[in-house]
Amino acid sequence: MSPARDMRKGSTTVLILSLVAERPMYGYQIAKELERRSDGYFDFKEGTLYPALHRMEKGGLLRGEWQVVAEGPSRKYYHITEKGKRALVDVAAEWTTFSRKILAILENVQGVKSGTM
Amino acid sequence: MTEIQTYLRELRRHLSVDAITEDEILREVHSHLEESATALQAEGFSVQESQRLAIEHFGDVREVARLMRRVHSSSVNEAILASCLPVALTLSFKWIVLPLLASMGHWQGNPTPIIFGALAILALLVPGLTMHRWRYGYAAWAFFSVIAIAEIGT
Repeated sequence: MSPARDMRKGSTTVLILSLVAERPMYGYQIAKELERRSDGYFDFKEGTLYPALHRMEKGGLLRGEWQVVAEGPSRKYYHITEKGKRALVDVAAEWTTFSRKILAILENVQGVKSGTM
Repeated sequence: MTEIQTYLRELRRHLSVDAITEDEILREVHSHLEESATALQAEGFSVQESQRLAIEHFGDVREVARLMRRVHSSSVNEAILASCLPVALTLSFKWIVLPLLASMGHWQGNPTPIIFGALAILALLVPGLTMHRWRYGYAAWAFFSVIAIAEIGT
């Protein structure tokens, strides 16, 4: 697995929670929204999204609700739960700290690349 | 049969989860693939090509099934547990509870068929009433129930 793919996989929970916190969404919508907002960076195999959604639903972070659609098959909308909201705050804080620390270390790499070190 | 239907059939074959979960997964994947294919058709792809691309974006059917099995493996464990309940309850009653009662002087003679019968019925009902979200346990449940009933007669 490539480092980029590894990092994307590790960020699935926080990304899904942050999207669903805005409004209830269904799987296809979440996949497209992630792709759109990241300019295609989060263009992963869409089928891998559902095990993550189901794991979060089982863990009580999300609540699934089927809705009948006038045209086409019904959709399962995911709502964030209170537990999910609390988890989002924690995980988002963790990611912010993590990325800040990584960036601080990567500044040295920039120095190596530009030949100042 | 369309490409999406073939994909769903393959997914069902590889899932190995309880019936209700399986139905939910297939409905959800079906909904996703249909919407994805419709969006691709709107971009100008043919019906067949849009379904093929939607499936390609969704990912390998075995990999999706494997990840789903990992999330829902507890339902299979429930089935195993449920299937063992009738005989476990009956034997524990016969070998542990009754001798314990006899040793305490509260029980005289052999176990009565009525108590054993009531226990067996309870043992048979519990999995059927409470653990309905499984499918592969039915055969094992029936098998162990027969053992439990046979044990009552000994």
